[in-house]
Amino acid sequence: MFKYLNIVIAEIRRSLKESFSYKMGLVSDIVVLTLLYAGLIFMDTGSMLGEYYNNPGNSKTLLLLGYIFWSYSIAAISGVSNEISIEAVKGTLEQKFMAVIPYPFLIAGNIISSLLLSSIVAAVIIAFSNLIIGVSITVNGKVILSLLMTLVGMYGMGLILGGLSLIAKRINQLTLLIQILLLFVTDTLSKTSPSSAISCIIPLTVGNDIARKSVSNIAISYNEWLMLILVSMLWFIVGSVVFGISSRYARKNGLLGTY
Amino acid sequence: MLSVKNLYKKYNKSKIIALNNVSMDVNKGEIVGLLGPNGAGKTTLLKIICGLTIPDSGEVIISNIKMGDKTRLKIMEKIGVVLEGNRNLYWAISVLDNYYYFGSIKGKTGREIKKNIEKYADILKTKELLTRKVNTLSMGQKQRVAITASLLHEPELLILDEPSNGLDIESRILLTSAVKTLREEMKITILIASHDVDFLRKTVDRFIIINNGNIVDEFANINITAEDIENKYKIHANLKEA
Repeated sequence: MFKYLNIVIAEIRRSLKESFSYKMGLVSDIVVLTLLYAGLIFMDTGSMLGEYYNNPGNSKTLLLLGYIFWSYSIAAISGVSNEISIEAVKGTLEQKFMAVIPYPFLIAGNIISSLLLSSIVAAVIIAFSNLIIGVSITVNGKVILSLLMTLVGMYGMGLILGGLSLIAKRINQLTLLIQILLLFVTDTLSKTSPSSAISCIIPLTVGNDIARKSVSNIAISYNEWLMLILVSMLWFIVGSVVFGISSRYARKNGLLGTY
Repeated sequence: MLSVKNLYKKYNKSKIIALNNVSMDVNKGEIVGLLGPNGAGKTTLLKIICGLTIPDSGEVIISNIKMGDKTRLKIMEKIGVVLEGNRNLYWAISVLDNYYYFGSIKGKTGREIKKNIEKYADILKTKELLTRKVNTLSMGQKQRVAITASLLHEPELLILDEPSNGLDIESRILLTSAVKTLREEMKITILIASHDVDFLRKTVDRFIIINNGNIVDEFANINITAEDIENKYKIHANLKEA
């Protein structure tokens, strides 16, 4: 157990040091996501959210909350496949496959570091929102819990894309497309009543809904929490299995070191 | 120390037989040179030994442990590998950060890594490079840093793929001397794959010749030249004599 923890911490540390050595990457993430948020606000996106959650006048706060959830989620899903592609190009991927713990644990460390960086981006967006637009959010325990559960499921989705990138290599455009689709099909920008069946099996949709109900002081039933746990665990399990099969296929076909 | 038995590997996509019933042994404390031209099967063989590629049939035994899904991680504790030289490092962070990272993912604690940096950085002459970022190092320095990083968990078997590629004379001499010291002082068994006859001749105890996926010969190190190799084994491709 200590060995696993030690290695995950080493991965977080390395990843953060590397990210801070490429400062422009972090700065451009902040600029792009803040500008996108500003664009959504000025286009009056999500104006019906307040009405749906019985929280009139707070549509922008609910939009901001969904947007923050989405920005963390895209970091979790793109983190795996992007990291695999980058490491394969650099030549360090095979070294990581020769670690003394399974590779997905290293990827988890990397995702945690991405989420820490996403927190910087989120803090900037929240500060921008507060200072420029006058929109603020109050984060409570239920919001954090639903975010963490959502991210477990989104990490599972990332493992599927990661498995695909081990075999097909360049899937950056596919990952980008999925990130954009998630913005529109997970009730991040608006709320359909009820959410479509497809969007309900995406952890981000369920997590968004719980977090918004929480800040709108709407009671959250056990069934809703159970739904989030089940959906997230399902994605996590499927992602782990797909990644395991893909990495075995890559090892069988000599694809690990190629890009 | 290392035993390879009847390894067979065919890549489905290219229909090429990379290894055709290859068997070989490396004894404890030996330095063995795996010599062959590009495309002979050296890298495939090394990757199977490292558990990075799965063979179609045959087995690999390292320190009496047979490579398999359940034993792979245990074997990783026993081997140190540099497959792509300077590309096995993170260039944007310091040498010391690389050392702590690669030592950690091999299961060592910070204290153990610190102790081993003292030991191995001294042999590989990388002590004075610790605070420098990898992207500021020369090719030879990166190669030595990569080898040091692969040793920090004190492996029993060190595997190097084309370690002399792109190195100047001084770096090659340093590398030869370091490899010999590792064997003498640390009792590490070393397997080096290369098509550089000159480097291997100055470094290894024994040659294993591989061509077209077959082991064609093995013999104790004698004063062999690239010309001898070409004449005897009809290997014409890229055998380098520095």
